[in-house]
Amino acid sequence: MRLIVQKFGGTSVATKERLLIAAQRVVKAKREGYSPVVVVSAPGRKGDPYATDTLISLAKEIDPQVPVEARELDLLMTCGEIIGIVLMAQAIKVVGGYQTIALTGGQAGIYTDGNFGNARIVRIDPAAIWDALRNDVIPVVAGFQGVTERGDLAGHGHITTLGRGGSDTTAGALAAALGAEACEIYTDVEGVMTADPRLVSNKARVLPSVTYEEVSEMAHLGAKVVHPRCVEIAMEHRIPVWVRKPDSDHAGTVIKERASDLPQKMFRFTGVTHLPYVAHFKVHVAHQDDLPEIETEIYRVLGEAGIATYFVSKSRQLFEFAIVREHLDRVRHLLDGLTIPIALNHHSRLYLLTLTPGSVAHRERRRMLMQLRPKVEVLDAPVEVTTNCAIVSLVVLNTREVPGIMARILEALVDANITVLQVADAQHSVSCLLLEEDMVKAVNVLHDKFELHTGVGQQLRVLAGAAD
Amino acid sequence: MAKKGTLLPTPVEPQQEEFERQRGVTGITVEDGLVHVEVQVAPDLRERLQVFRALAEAGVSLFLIKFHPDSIHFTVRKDALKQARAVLRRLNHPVKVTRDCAMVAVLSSAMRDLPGVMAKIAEAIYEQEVELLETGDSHDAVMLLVRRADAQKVSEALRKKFGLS
Repeated sequence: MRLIVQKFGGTSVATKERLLIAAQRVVKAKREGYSPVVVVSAPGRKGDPYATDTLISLAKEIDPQVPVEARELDLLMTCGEIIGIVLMAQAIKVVGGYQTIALTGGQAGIYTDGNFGNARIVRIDPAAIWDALRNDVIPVVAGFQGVTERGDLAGHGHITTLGRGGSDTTAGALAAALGAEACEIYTDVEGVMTADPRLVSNKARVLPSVTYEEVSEMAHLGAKVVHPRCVEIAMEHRIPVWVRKPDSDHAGTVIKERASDLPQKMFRFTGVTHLPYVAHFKVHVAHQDDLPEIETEIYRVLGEAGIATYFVSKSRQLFEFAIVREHLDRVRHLLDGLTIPIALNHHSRLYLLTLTPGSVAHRERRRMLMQLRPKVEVLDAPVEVTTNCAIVSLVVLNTREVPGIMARILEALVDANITVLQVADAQHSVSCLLLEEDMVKAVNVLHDKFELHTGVGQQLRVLAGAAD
Repeated sequence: MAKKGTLLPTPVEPQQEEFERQRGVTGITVEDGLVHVEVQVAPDLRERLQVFRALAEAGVSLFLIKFHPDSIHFTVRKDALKQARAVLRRLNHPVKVTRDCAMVAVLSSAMRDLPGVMAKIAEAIYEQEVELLETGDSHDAVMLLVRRADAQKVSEALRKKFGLS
């Protein structure tokens, strides 16, 4: 038997017409001799009646000041997918005449830890799915959800959600658990593209084939095609993942072998991604020797608040980092007025972080701390914030082995008069922190510079001097 | 098409499979044979581009690249140092080279979902009183460039900090 997992996103099941098109995909697979296992997201996207955010708002709007328990939120959020599976099961029955069974995550045997809102799959018992397949019934499983099992601290049988990209994660994990031939992710684009087509218009191309590492890099750096957790599971279990559009004849993109499986040291330019809504912080410190303690304390404060940092960098008297802008107000609040003591041999220093030098609050804080003199030396640590930043990244298979990438990136950006605030390189990408107003232009010039619009950039090339 | 009673493959034993990696730091790696290079150059991007272009033409691969107010920093493999130095000498920018470096990488499958990791790393480095020459971060790793002599100490401290064997 040839088993495949087919996952349909929210837009694929948002209307009756789209639902029927999606169901035709399942029926087609069945008629071609496959045994499909279908995974469905909640119908619609942000703002639609059964979309996750709409469901959350139903509870939150009762009184926004009273937080809704995470367990209850998970119960509520899973309703959208349950509606989705019943509709999809019915649509398949209508289109193909096949028997179907709609299964919640728990009924499908997806067990998670008790981390409500962002649960991790710990075990899959696909007995119910196998039962359905043995009886020639198409199982339609709710994505994004699972259930806690006996022994979990949260208790037994609580419904959980898997967090961002949860339905993709469900599809990948089921494909792994069932030993499926492939996992198909149906979405509203024709495949993994070289850039967001809304930014580079008709120049973006569908990549016929990418490695797990490339697509994972793209997803982490802002591309919204397939969630990295799904890719990670597929990579571990070596399951090919296809990204396709339900109503398109385009073959789509296949995500397959690891970069390390390639026969030689190869590289290619894969795509350009963007991540808007970023803020950049620069903390100035009077004494270079004090920087490690200040850096540690800032990381501790941000870590406790659950805020991740990007583009970390430090030089002699400067410590830099970027954050996602949704955290900006919290970070301002956490850092403005933060005092960091430094113990020295004969006296101590106190750094007063300030985002608002000259403000009444800063003057007052400083006046109070000055009373500690002469035993304590009080120093200001001014914090500069650039609130309107974005990250634009070039994804490259095997970046580190290829000389000249940074030069080509800078050539393109300098020629377009784009200011680069900071850079960061990783195994499969080079990222630039720049002003948000330059983001679209930067994506376009890099897309052109690396010939991604012609397909030349994506051709696999052997590294100079690489041995077999 | 599978009919009722069709022979199906033996189901995978579900209890034995781990479908999602444990969240958190999964490993520490050390790569030595690296050299840290600081090139004094004005913040003007065109001037900086000249440096990168010259190094590219000489076929020197760079990583851990950082922009600083009055300099650019990067790391090269030690066998590329001679070539890099020759290029930089020609450009006439003051250069500081730190040989015998090692990159300690802290690995995780989704670093940005683990905001406390940076604090733990910074604590470990600070407690060991080791000079951190450069830091880099990506979604799956935090890279720490230290002197080779410190790499073992840093690696062990990090393993201890993250409970890795």
